[in-house]
Amino acid sequence: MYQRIIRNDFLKTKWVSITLMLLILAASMLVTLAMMIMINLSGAIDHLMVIAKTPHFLQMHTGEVDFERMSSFAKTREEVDEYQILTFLNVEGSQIRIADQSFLNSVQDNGFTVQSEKFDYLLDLGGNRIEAKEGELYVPINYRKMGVKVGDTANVCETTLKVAGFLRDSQMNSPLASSKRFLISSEDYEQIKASGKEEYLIEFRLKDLKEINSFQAAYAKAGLEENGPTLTYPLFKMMSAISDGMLAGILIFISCLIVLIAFLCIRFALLTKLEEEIYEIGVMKAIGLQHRDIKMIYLLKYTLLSLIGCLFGWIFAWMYSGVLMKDMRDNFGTSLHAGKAPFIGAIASAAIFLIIMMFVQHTLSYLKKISVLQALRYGTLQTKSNSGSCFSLSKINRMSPNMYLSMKDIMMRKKQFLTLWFVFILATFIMLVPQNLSNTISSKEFIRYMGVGKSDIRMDMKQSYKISESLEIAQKYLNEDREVKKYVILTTAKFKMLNKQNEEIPVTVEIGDQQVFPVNYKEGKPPITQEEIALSELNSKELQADIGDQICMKRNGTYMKYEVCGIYSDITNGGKTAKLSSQPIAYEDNMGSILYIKVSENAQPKTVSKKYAELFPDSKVSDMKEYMNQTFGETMNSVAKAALITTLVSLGIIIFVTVLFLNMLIAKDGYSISVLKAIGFSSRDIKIQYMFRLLLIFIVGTSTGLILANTLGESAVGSVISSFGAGTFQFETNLINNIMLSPAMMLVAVLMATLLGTKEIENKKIVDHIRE
Amino acid sequence: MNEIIIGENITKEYEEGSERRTVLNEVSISIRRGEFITIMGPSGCGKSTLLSILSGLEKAESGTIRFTGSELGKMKETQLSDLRRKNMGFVFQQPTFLKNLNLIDNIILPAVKNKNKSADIILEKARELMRKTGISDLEERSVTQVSGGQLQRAGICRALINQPDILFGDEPTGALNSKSSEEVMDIFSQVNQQGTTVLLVTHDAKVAAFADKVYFMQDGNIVNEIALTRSNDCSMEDRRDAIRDKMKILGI
Repeated sequence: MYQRIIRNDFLKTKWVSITLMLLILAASMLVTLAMMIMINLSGAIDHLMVIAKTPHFLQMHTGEVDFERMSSFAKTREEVDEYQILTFLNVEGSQIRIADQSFLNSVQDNGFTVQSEKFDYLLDLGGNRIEAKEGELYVPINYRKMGVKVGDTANVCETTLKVAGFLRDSQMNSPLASSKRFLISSEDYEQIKASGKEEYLIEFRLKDLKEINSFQAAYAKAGLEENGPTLTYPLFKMMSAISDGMLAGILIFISCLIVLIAFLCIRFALLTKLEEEIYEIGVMKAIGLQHRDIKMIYLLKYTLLSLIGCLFGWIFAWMYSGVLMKDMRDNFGTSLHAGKAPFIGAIASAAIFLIIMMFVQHTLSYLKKISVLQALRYGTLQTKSNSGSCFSLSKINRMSPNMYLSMKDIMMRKKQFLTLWFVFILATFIMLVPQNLSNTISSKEFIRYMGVGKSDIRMDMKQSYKISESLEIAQKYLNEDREVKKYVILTTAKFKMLNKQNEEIPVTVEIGDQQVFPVNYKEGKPPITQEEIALSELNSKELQADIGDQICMKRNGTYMKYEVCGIYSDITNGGKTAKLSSQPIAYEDNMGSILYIKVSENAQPKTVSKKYAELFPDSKVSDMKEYMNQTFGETMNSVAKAALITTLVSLGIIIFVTVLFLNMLIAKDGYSISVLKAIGFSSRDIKIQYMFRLLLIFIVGTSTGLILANTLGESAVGSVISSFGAGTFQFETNLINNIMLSPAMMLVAVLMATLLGTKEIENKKIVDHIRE
Repeated sequence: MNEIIIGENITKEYEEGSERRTVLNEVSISIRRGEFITIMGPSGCGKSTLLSILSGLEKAESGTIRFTGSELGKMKETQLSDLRRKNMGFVFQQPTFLKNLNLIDNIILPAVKNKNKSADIILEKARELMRKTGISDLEERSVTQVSGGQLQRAGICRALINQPDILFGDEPTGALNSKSSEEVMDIFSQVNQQGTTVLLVTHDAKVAAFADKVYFMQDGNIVNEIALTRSNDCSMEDRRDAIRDKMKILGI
């Protein structure tokens, strides 16, 4: 009997059933996809880091290294398992050319190295340790996107090499890592050695990764070489995961909202159905059918719908996960958990199925509330009648009857329309939050979260004996250059600060006029006097220092006190940095200088940057736009991809839910439609009335969604981003997109769905509902 | 031309499972302006279908229906809606109202839609009709707060709000008690006396006795008719008896 009832019900409410099933499918598919990406991402990164034997602690250093002292330090530390010092030959981009591609504009520090012996291996795409032969060049996998192919001829410092393959570098794979390693043979290395600048990678592997913090403090205390960034295993992992992690995060966020939308629609469909069939329910109750039996009729249908939806959601996720995970696979190779991912996805889909079932059970408890008398006598769930005398046609002079009837209906059926209102809010949220995030990451302002002010050109001058001379020349040029509006020289130094436990913490400090290109200050202001210091948010947390607090910093062997004047966002270098105003620094503390330049209104950053690159061939000059593109390009792409998916999902939801809603509403309103037709309202009038209702709810819903996306959405994203060190995250919204383009797309979707959903009105026959 | 409606060779079929059932079989009928006509017949004879087709509520499979010379079958849906709203009034057996609106709003709705009169004039007209039908104190009531008879009177008020040329009634007293039925029929009679054509469908001889002419239907055909005189010599009882006699002869 149940089989027949369900089959008939499916046939009768074909579109409603299909739409609900598609919603469940979308929710299940997105949750499964997100889970699969998460599992694969963490598995692939872990796998790569395990087989490559990624160092747990890495100190980059420019300058001389006391090998003996380093070796004895490593021996005295019990936690050290293995230690090595690798060389990294930093070569100017202008000296690297592969096929037609020049690396002149590359913002990365491109360096050449030989395969390491103990750990930190560079691997081929099959996960094997590469042994480069003479004349062979292995290129970082990221450059495959530039069009580099195996077999291409490379010209490096006038030495000709052949691209033999691509390599995966477990610590520098991420575009967020500022250096990239090319692998060559030791013979070739010797040949080009004189054309580049050698830097050292001082690497340690510990017996237990948990010891990393104490080891880091011990390294800093020992006063060993540290003229360069310090990086740790967790940071490598975070940098590797950030792009795809963001994609997965967005998918999880969106899928939660879609599950919520599916719940709202299921509830609406169920209650509408119960209201439609209240007479039959009354009869069933009257003839003695138990509550459980009646419940089963409805429960079975939704069990079937959810089962099909979740199952196909899982299958589609499985089928399409490859497209979303292509970049991930390229960068990190196959996952350790690749085999488990579909099963974890299946568990996620099963969880969605169970949650839906519980929700349907809960909604069906409504059946208990229906009394036989109420059902048979009134044939409605609402016995209270309220015609709303406050909004009466007889009291309103100038309102079209179509508009009046629409507004009256919304007032009388608030609950139903609230569901749709809520769906529009969620759809707007789904569309705008990822779009705003994508826009923020791609915007020029995003640089401010990186602890850098907004400028047009960045010119890196590495520490050398020639640096002061080069800086003087640069200043002279910049002062006279009409294409330059303003510039600042910021010198980077590495000092040690004392935390509350009196431990020395190494901190990268930027020294110079901090007011020329101010960064994003969460609290306070930039340092102006020599006694003031600004801390990055993560640094202030680590040092437990707030505005007005005094902190100690070791300079030239003595501790000096500084007052914290500002706290700013910085998501670079692990987020632990500080800023000081202009003051002299000792040569040995100096790690190099960066010049930030803003060009005049008529000048082009690209041409000015090219000019300075030619003038200062030893410096790395990058157009900031290009710098952001190359550093954050992959993250931007991931978020843009997610934003595109969510835009399409949002539009799909709007169309499906609007059609579903109209379908149910029109089925329910058959009587009213017949009455209106009988007294002289055309199908067009009635369609207009539905259009009015939908548009009213749409306008209120999208406006609320727009506000919430920019407030609640911003805080939600901000709280995630703040874990990377940006405390004052604000969306960079594209106004045209936010208030025109996106709402316009949604409006078109609503109008299309309304035209589609109201088509049935033409087929409604007056006599079907009016006659006895 | 004095005919308000001319229906010729009207055929209507309904699908019943896999079979088609003929409900109207080439029925022809003409109604003159100012007439009070009733159509009688047993359940299922096609009388309500004929009324629906003559008023444009439903479409026929074949045949033509002319309303004041214009053929309904050639009209667009919007033209038909305009015609129903401006020139026709309907009263159904079950009160047909929008449950969201109170009585007065239901009554004035077709007039407001017409847009040719000010709100004040429309309200004045509605109140006059409500007064005449004895429901003037129910303006603000919801449709669930009044009796069936009161609702039917409100239905008549709505049907008359745009001063239609013809008033259609499909068993308008079918759901009422005898007292309410009589009161409602009196209103129909008055409306007709003021010049509005009335076409009613009924199976009740008492109701049919208010008409000038009664058509009898059986198995989808008009099988007979009887003209009733409204002179003082002829009482309502006589007219009713005449109808009943005719029905007996026809075996209805």
